[in-house]
Amino acid sequence: MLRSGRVVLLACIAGLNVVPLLLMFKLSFGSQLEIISPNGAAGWLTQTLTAENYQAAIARIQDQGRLIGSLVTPLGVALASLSLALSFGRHIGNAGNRARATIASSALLARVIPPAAICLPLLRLFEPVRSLPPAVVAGLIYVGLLLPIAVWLCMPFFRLSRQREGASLVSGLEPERHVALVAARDHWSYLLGVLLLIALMVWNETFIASLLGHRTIAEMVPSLITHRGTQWGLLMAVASLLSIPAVVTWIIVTSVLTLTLRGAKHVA
Amino acid sequence: MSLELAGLTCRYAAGGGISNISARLAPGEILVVLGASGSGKTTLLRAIAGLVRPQSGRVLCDGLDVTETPTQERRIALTFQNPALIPSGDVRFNLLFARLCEDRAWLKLFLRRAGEAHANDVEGVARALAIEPLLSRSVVNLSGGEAQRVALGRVLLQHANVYLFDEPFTGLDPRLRTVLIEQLDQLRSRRRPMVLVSHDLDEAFALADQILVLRDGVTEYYGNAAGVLDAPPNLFVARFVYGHFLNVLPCVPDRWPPWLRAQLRGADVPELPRNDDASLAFPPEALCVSPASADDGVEVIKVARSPRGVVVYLDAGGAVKPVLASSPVLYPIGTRLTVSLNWTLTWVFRDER
Repeated sequence: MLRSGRVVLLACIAGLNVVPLLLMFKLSFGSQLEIISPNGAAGWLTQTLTAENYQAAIARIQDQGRLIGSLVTPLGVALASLSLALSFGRHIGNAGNRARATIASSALLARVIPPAAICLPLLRLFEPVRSLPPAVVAGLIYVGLLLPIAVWLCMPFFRLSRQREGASLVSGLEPERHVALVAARDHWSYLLGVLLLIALMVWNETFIASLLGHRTIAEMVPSLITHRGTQWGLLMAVASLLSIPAVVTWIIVTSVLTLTLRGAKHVA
Repeated sequence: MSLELAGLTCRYAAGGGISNISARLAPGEILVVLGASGSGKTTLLRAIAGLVRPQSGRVLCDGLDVTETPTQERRIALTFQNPALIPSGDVRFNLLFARLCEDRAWLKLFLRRAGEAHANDVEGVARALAIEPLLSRSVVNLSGGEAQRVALGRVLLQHANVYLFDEPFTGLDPRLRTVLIEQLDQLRSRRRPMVLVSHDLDEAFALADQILVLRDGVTEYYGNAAGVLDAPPNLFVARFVYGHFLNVLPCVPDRWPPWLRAQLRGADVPELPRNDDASLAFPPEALCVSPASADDGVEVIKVARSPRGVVVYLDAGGAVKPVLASSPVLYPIGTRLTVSLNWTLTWVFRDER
């Protein structure tokens, strides 16, 4: 990607990262009617992105026929996985700084992809385990979703150089030691990309939900703004917690992954 | 330590591979494997190293069957066509990679820190391969030739029972080729067999005790190095070892130029099949040339000079390609030469064109 293109992309990603916080900020100054109105943004969030609505949506799909329902779910999973995989792994195959830069920007991109769109088809997949605690279910969903993405991200790791592996073997290194001591060490950036992605999503949707009353962010944030007033302390706490992964990611991106808003640093 | 290959066969589903390859190397002997691209040379090395599993046949080290032994337990050193260096390590680490594996220094391997281990050995090899100034440099920043030398250094530093080299001269300048030939000659003192795949015939013949020529994975010639030059078994092998310098004519003297037909009057002329399916082949050395008078002899139409000598191209009248002859003198183009063919250095290949 061209340097200017990367700057624009990163600027857009950075801008998109601010959207959730701006939304909360706007809501906190909105009129009470606007906040609780079913037509407002908060109302849309409250009424749309809830587990009950997911179930209702699934039920509606099921009502229209088992065949359609059975097709929609895998199709949704495939589309969601594909869209994420494409956005994350477009340039991952290229080694070096360029790939690292792409991982970094992709990780940031993941931060702003609405998780709800992915959960909708996946919830049905995990229906048999709904009796489990919500955090566990959410964890399962994300692990299930992230697995193909992780595989995609780690494709270079799985496509290890055969000659390098051969060189290790003839040097007396066992295959498992080659993976641990040579391959994993050389592909740490890809593995880190996967870990970052998982950490970001689990943090946002599982840990926070567990910490703050077992509710997802989409459900919880509007509920902090009620007729009786705005719970500023809790709202700011949520905003701070939400921004932690983005801040941490940005620090890693700018320092470790040799990427800045001006484009990739060129390592001599 | 000796090496024996007994009927080694390793064919790939997609085609290619080797079939029924046999060879026996005494301690310190060098087998040079020649063949066109895709003829199975690299597969042979990989089969010896255990990186591909042969469908049949055996690999024996010192009489011990190691065909089923895992690669890492065979103690075989192998250079690949690609240097296959560890990108996160520096040159010193890569040179010492095999030694660190031998020492089971796992932490040093993971941290990519070779330290001062085996410093004398490393510096000796690095000096010989002219990579001493690069020891602390990351291998990512090396040129192709430098990376190739590091890969060779890694193998030279390894304590192995068998040494395998896949096109080791590629990317090396003439001075380093000489150094490598010296290094490989020194390896003989370890009394370990070596197998060398190469397209560089000068270097190959400088080192070879035995030659194996492959065509489509099948042995075309296996024997000592002098034998393939003196008596190639077929036209393919002759063309391969002599390259474009080999003179090949159809065994139909009527189509030869008169000056070459005149050579048939000699006493030592072999019986020629005299048909289109047979070929007469001879190297430039088979022709002796000397100056002739202006109206006699054959005209020089081209002269090629190389460090190995002078080759003159003799006019064959257009019916066949110009005939090449070695010459002790650099004759100018247009000179007329008297030619004498040494029939003992010619070969007749029946049913081969």
